[in-house]
Amino acid sequence: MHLNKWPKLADSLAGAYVLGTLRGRARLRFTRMLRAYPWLAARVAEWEDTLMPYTLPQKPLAPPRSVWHGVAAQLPKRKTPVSGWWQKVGLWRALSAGLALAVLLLVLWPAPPAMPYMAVLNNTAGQPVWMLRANRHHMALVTMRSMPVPADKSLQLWAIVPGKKPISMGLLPTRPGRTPILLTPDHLNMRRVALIAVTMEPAGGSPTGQPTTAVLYKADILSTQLSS
Amino acid sequence: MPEIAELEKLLQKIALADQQAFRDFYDATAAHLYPVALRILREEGRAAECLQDAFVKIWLKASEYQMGRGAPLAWAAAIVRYQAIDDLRRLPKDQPGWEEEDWEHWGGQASSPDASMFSERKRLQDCLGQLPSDQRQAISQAFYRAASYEEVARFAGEALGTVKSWIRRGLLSLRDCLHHASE
Repeated sequence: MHLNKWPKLADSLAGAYVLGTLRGRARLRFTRMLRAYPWLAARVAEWEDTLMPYTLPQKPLAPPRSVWHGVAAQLPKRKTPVSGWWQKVGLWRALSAGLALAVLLLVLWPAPPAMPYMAVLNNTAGQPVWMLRANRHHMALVTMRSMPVPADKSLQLWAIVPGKKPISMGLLPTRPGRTPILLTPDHLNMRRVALIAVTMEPAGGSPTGQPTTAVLYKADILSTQLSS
Repeated sequence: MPEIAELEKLLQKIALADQQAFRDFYDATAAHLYPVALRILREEGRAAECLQDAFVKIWLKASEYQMGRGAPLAWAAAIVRYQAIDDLRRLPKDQPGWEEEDWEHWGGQASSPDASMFSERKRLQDCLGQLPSDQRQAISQAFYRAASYEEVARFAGEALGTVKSWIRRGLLSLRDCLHHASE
């Protein structure tokens, strides 16, 4: 259903979602639509900004200490800062070439089975701009260089699964940085994704949930797992 | 209330997987967010569990926060609220005592140390006050109790369809009123 044709309905559904009266399957369906339609997510954000201040308490109350411990236990283990590894090149010289290579692989691929899929999106000059790494249901994106975009436009990333409509993977960052590990949208199994593609959409993303312009960049999904 | 600019800066760092920033964000907001879960789930153990799950989501979703949106605490409170609503579904449906508190006036009388928060609260109270009383009560219940349409209908002794339309119409008028009041 193209909810954007019924803005009042979309608005009242977004309100009911934030209020919490939208429940059960309707809520799940709406959550799925939110991931696919950034403009709908923007309506929800407006409702959140309108209503949420009133749910905040007059008097703060500290939660039990166990809460933080439980949260911290679920964070990724801290790694040595990625930015510093090449500075240890002096140490590598002292190591045998073979050992140095092994160390390099260990540093660059700390957990090879964890993120076996990858794709690199290049700009028109052939320079890499985004690198996507993923396993079946998680993904992380590194933005390697700035990608200027007009103020009224956004770059949207799509997953292409053969025989299916493109699935929105969200809006692309345009400045260098890295995302944390994210869940793939809509329970998408990355194993089925053949390639990823980028289109330029109105700011906030495609109003229809599908690409509205031609593909600007695309990249195959590569598996770093050796096929046996 | 924690500083908006400070919290946004922390969220920006959390999006880059900065765990110290996340700890700082937790320290600044947990005591404000815990009561949001507690109010809906009404039991400390459940609320603590809910808050824990919600903070893991905050860690994962920090990159989705639109910088400059100006409402990092509202954004985080929404994540806690949605988690609490999800958790509610797993609870037995025997939640007596809705009338134990004067929910309709909750938050109306106490003074908040934060003036802008107080004026926003007042705006909502004023706009709620302009709604027909059935719409106002249905929305207040849904809002403060995180009640479903079915629960509001049961409590009001009305048909489900009636309650749904009260809430839909009420929400849209509320929104118009709040927009109008902020202009």
